[in-house]
Amino acid sequence: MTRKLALLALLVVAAFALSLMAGKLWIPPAAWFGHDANAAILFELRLPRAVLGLAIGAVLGLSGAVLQGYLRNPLADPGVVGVSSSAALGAVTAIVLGIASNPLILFGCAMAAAGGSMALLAALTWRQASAVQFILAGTVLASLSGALTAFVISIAPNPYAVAEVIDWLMGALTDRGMDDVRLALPFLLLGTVVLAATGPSLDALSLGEDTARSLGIRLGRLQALVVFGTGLTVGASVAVTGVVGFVGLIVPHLLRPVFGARPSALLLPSALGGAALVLIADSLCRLLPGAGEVRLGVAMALIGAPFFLWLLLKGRVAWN
Amino acid sequence: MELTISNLRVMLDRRCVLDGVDAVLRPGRVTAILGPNGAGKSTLLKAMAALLVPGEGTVSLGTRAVAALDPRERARLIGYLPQEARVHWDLRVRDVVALGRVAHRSPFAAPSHADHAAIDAALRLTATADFAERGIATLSGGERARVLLARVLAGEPAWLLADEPLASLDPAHQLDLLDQLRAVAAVGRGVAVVLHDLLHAGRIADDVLLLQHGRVVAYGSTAQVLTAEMLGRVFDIAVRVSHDFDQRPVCVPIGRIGSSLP
Repeated sequence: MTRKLALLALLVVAAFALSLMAGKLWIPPAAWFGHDANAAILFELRLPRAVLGLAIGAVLGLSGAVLQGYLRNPLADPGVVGVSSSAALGAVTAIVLGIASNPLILFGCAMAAAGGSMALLAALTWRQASAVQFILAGTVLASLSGALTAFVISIAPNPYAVAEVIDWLMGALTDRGMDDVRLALPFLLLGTVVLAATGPSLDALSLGEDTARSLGIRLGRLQALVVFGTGLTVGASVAVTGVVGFVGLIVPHLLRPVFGARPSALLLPSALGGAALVLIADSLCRLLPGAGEVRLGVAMALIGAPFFLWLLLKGRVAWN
Repeated sequence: MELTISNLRVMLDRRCVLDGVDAVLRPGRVTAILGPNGAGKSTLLKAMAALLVPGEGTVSLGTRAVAALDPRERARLIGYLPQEARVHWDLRVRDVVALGRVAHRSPFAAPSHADHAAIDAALRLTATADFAERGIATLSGGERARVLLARVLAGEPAWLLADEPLASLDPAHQLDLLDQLRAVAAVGRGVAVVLHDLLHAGRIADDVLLLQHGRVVAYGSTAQVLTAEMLGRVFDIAVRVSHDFDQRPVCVPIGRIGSSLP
């Protein structure tokens, strides 16, 4: 187990290094510490992007593992509880209103919308802390946010705003700087701590809600941790990168055969796996030929969907 | 510690499921909870485990209301084995049994020596140690039922509440499980078990609590309650009650009252 974890951590280090090297200009490690023009690219562009990729991949993988454990459903990911789409709604609204030129305001709007929707989710489900209620309320919130986003786009005053929104919605790490890292990191870290605290309760929950309660698990408190932790991590990551899907869905699936199905044992591996996946995918985006760059969110879906289908057909996805 | 149920009323969907249940369950004995379908047996067990909030009345362990206990302390005192329990992920058998100990240590602490000892003892007692390293999804229904019993035994609760634990077991393992429940009671702990099979109830129970329409029809020693007259009235069946060599009642349903079938 420890060896597998070490290997996975090594993969993350390698992916991080790849992310520093890869791009239209290949910067090998030997050139990392020289005093030339490369240093500017490395420290101004590549490093923040790699740090952000690492952090966002980690929280997406972690929150996916937590949500699958909490809902006891292998189909769960941050998308189903509506955090991503509500954060996107906040950001899109800011862009359409033309107040998004200040990254702080864009970030604030996305976080506020994510927080609002999580508060609504908590209010809708706190009376009965059950997974079915949670998933239904989350799905409704997700589609409501989606509809509101479409509405906001449709009343956009000019085509430039629409182009900007669509660009942003696709999700990317392009041109993110240290300011974005500084903005998001506190939320990501706090949310990670909150999510990591759910581990033992998630294990007990695999015996069902009644049994978990009989084992002394406070389901209301657990639900609050899940909602709060997901809101912080996924909200902040959507606020800086846009919507990057599939990571939270496929990473726990990939790692379950390797690390076992016990939810708490899957949290750290999923965080590492998510980080590696996003770093590698983002590096590949930059390495693809062409004038523009494939958006990370698009690349993730293009890699993720067929891959998930393959897992499904191979019968590696456990339904129970 | 006695488990005292006083004037318990439970409403589910505006239907009165338990209607003023009073009983004092004694430790060191096996109490079988019997009654026709819909009599409120599972609801009573859940109320005893503080898994639902009664509209009226209380369940107390010793002098303290179970609903007022700290959840973790309650978990150490009361073990609950639900009906048709399932495990949602393919956990290792040993990890499932270890979940019985979660209330015995702080959430992120490693299992103590006592934890390991209790887990090993539970695996041994339920004859599940042989597949302790296997995934629970690879087991048969009966094997899984024994693992889940091991899970609740590993918690070493003062009271064991089991809801229809015999359902998926073959006759040999049914007898084993009845013996295991007796063994738990023999060391002074309390056992309350919901049963459907009158034969099993006669074989295992010291006391029988007979429910009908959410009320206690009879509560007393097995010999007092399991009579042909009483069972006929509550279950609407003709029952032949004989006694085996240790004077335990053997209740054999022979037909439905009013039925034309022989």
